[in-house]
Amino acid sequence: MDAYTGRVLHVDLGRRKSQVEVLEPAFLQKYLGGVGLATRLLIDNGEPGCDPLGEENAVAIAVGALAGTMVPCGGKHAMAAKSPLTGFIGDSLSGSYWSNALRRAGYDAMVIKGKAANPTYVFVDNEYTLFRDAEALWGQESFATEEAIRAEIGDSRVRVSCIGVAGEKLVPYACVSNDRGRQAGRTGMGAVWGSKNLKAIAVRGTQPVSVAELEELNKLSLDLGERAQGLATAKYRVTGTVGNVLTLNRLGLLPTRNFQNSVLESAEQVSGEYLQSHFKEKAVACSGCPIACEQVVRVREGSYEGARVSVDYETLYALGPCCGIDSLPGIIKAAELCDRYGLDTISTGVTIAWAMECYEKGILTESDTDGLELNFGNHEASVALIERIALREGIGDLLAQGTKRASEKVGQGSEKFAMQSKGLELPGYEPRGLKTYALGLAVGTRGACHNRSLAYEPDMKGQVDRLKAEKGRGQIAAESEDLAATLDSMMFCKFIRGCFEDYHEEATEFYRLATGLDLSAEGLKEAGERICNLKKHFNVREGWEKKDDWLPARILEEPLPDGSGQGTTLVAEELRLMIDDYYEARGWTEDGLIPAEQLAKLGLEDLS
Amino acid sequence: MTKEFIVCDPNKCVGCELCELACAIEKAELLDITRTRIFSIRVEPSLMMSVTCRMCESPTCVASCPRDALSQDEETGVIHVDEDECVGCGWCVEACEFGVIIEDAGKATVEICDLCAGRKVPACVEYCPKDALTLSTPVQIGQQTRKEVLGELLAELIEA
Amino acid sequence: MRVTVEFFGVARHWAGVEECQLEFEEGAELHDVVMELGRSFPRLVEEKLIENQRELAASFALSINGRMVTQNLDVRLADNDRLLLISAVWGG
Repeated sequence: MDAYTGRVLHVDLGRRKSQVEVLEPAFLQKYLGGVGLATRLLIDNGEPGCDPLGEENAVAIAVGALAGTMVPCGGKHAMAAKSPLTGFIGDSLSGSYWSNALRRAGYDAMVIKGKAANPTYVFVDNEYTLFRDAEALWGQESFATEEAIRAEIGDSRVRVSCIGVAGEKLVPYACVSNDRGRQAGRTGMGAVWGSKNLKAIAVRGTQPVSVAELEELNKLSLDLGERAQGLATAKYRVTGTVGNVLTLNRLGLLPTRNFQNSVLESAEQVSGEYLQSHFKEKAVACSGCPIACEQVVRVREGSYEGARVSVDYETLYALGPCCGIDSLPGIIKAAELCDRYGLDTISTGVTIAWAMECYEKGILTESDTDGLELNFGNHEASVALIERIALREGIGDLLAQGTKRASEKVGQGSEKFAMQSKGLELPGYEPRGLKTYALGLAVGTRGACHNRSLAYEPDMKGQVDRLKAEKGRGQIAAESEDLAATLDSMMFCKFIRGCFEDYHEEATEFYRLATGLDLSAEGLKEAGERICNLKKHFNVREGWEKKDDWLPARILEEPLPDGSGQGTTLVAEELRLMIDDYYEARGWTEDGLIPAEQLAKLGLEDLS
Repeated sequence: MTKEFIVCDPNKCVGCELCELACAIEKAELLDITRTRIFSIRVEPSLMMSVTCRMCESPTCVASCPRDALSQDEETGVIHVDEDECVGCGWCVEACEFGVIIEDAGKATVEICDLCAGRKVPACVEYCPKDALTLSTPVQIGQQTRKEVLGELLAELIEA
Repeated sequence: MRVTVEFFGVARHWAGVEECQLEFEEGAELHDVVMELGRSFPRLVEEKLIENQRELAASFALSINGRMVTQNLDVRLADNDRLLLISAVWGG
């Protein structure tokens, strides 16, 4: 077996010990890597029913088979733990150089357990694993932490993954940052690190990576790199994902003012085009990426002068239109603060939007908000809130809990417009106008997530009537989840998916040339289904019930406010119908549980 | 002497580091990042480029070698390493003003970019997905710079 | 009859305009719009957004009165239709 090292590094923070577990090729082939491998390692190493912020929770981090090779967009890492935000599976990906370093250090994955007595960082220095004091780093921003660790080690090529202050303060939607500006953003992995007194994992990996057929793999990689300059990635290269803003706005699908509207009147001012012409510094790439979608922007004048960060569509939506904010400098500043403190931008933005609606409805008043006027559109207030959230000061302590818990605490009907599912805040597409996608959000194992389902594609490509809820969507949603799971486990960035003519065939060819292991296109599809079931299994183990697959009341009780689908509804019966259809397509029971024979069919009999 | 060397346009470089792997594959036939002779540098989130041997006039690396193991090809400017003479002492590594000479720990000799002798286009240039790397001469670089600067100035004049 | 085409994202970048008006005979279909766009905005053909003169690349879509169309362009036009030429690639 090549490419894979067949080794997992187990780190026990409490005992300051590490040990290596050897994985068999058949095991790796079954779970591939990335999300699949991380989820399996979490199931095997985390304590069932544990407190997400307790010592018994485990963090599993896995790279894909292609990490450390020249295969374009093959170097991301996935992180899984029980989420402090949802109580279910937390899994998050990050584009990275860190992943290559881990592979070159000799590992396919890491599992971190226990809790360090004091703030600690782990230094994986090729074959050595060291526990280092992070007392002086505690309280530092994510960027500064990375630099300080590189300076301490004295090697500018050491790759660092770390948490900011929000993770230390156990904000349940704190992220883990790496490589100066990339994040494993969603589901609060940063808080899990914080609860373990784990500030960072630094990796120096300099060993060669073996591949089965170097020459052939190289040829195929060059070819894929060439294709990645074509039309399928034009959007990512030319405008970046922020190009979505005007399109979604025109279609009436841009969630605005906490989903009270789906059109922002002044969208031109927050468009990708405006961002490009007024704020863009440069488009940059993650490791081994020929696309370079990341738009680094900088505010050049005014009160936010000097704010610099990379902005993608989701960040822009959440901190902008969702909060009714149409000032790009204000959005850029807010995004920069989220990155520095280590907060998930989507959950942060949507939680602030919820607070703004509460304020406008009189549910929260100035005596609750530390005197801040939380009207929609007030970017100064949003910037002020981010610091309070990260430090859990004043109103920030309430908002740091996310929309689900904060609304349960505040009550007064605010639960109805807490825009979350399973506790995870909604991404930036209006589900009432995209019905397959709405189903994907409701049944998603990590909560309301676009990336784990991709179910907006059939809606947006016109393969189905996007305004209609009907039987048949279950199968489509299940298939798109399976596809996403294979991408997230092969660890191909989703943005290169359009460059394959036959993704399953070509991806398995890359896999075979790299690892020397045979995997058929059918086998890859089945692995996708296996991984989705695995995540569902974890949720069931942690107390999932049928009612947890659902959408916020606003989506089900209020018609689509604007745009070409204006007046369209997604009522509870329609969602129920699609969810039941989905369970059936998955081969699950009417209650959404996985029958033992289904587990066995997927080779997961040891879990039943 | 038509001295060509590998030039990186920092405006086009996205910091993907594929050039490093391309070099290691070509020169060491291994995905071994310690064997690259071109180096991707990211100073700031948006400031990055790759750098390799610039085929200096009167190169300090050649002058610094105590065993005269390094010599410069008069025709191409490429620095040749005499592997029998080189003992990997590292004086040239220190002397190089761009930090682009590496030591091969296995062989105890140094390695320097040779523009992929025998290859039509150097591997890194071929691999660069953004065409940020080119094989250029100082004359061509000057021409290109003048063209770009004047192009921008003229465009501004037209707009004004 | 007259239809309006609005451009978004990459398509706008390449067309260089935000929208355009096109005239057609009765009975025209979306194919005819794509053909006309290719003639008026050669960059769209150059960049292969338009293929075989009358087809749309798989990563793009036309929205006709809110309905998405990518591959089957044999859709009849009506006077005053507003079409949006958008990317069919999502994610962010």
